[in-house]
Amino acid sequence: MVQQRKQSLAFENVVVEVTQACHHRCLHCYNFWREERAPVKDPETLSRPEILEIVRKVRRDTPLRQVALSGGEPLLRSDLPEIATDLTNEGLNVVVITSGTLLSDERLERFPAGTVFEFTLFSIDAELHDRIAGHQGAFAKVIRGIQRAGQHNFRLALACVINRLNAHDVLQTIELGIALKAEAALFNRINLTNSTMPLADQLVPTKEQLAQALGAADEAAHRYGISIAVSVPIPPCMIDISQYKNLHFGWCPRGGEGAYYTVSYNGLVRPCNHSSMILGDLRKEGFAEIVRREQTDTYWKPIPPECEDCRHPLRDSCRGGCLAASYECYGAGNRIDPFVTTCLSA
Amino acid sequence: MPKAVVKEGKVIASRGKFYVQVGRSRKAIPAELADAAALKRLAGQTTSVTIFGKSIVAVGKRPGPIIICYVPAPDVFKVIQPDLQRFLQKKYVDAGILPG
Repeated sequence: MVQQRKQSLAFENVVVEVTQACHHRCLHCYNFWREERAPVKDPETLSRPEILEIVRKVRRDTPLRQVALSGGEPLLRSDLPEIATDLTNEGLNVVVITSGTLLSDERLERFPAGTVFEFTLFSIDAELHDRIAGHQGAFAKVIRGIQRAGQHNFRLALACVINRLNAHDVLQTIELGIALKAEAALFNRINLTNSTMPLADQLVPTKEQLAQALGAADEAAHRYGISIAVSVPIPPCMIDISQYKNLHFGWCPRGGEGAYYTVSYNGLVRPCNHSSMILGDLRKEGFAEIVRREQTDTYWKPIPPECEDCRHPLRDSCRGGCLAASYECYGAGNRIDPFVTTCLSA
Repeated sequence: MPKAVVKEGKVIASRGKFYVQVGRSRKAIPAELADAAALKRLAGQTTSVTIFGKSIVAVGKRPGPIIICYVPAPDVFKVIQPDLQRFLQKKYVDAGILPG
């Protein structure tokens, strides 16, 4: 009985941000700490044993299957391969979410077999990729890093972050990802936050650009058989998503089964990677204790009033887009995702 | 350039090998496409089969509501047919985007 109660949370995924440090300055970076990052060796940073202990804590309360090691740039931590090894030894799937620029042979040899690397390509145009990444020479380094990871037989997933500058380039970018041995792709439209809101006019694609980019991704999925997840929600009131039959559209799980609570570099728990809301401290509390408290439940509830009368069949999945973006940009969850309003008015 | 076609097919296991029956045509599933355990789970099921030119590119149902924002769900991966991967590799080497 006690076991049943303990296992009653259904989450299979958790994100651990092993550091806030990053050597890139992506134009669209959504991290709330983007202007003030804790360095890799910040005294608050969880050590390797602490990360294992915290993941075990989450696992005691959930049927956890997968841990995503993220940042910042997680590969700035020299012990990342060993952290991945600890988690793999626990029987967990490990995904490393990285720019891909720091994947050296020496590092790759230390990662356990089965590690998945999710890398980011913004374009096939090196100059454009570097401009979006805010790091000159990044493109060449990603290409070399991902080629090495492929040679070491790691599984690869491509993440394309779509903004106004690269929306025209999606088909070729996915093709390049496949050429680099990616077996899955994420089509992530830019997600706004407080610090990127002033740049929204420059970064958010127009509705036509978004439709064109989705069409290109759909064509890539059809032509090459690659699974493409449109991961950051695109509300169906913006675009008729039913015409993209080869894409898989995802929605904010809003604390439901597919939720991926996110652990900060210092053990603080947030609703997801996009949110700055602190729900609790895993160094001091249990995961279930944090997730079941009223504050957490309250966070997920708001629905924008405009969506209450929505008659679309996907209404209950969509519920206004990315809730975290609304909180981050407006300080309130009952506003429509700012991407929607910005895109439609562009 | 050939286009990919998605058809319905039935996965058949026979003498340690795996085939897919699409209409009257039975094609062997390339060993590199998926591991035996994954194919065993699909045996007997009707599922989507992606064909590119004469090659089977992907076998398996498209994932359902398993997409999670930001992180690729483990079930979303499909092995891309190596010929297709090499075709794109050559394309981007020839274009000077990938090193030769």
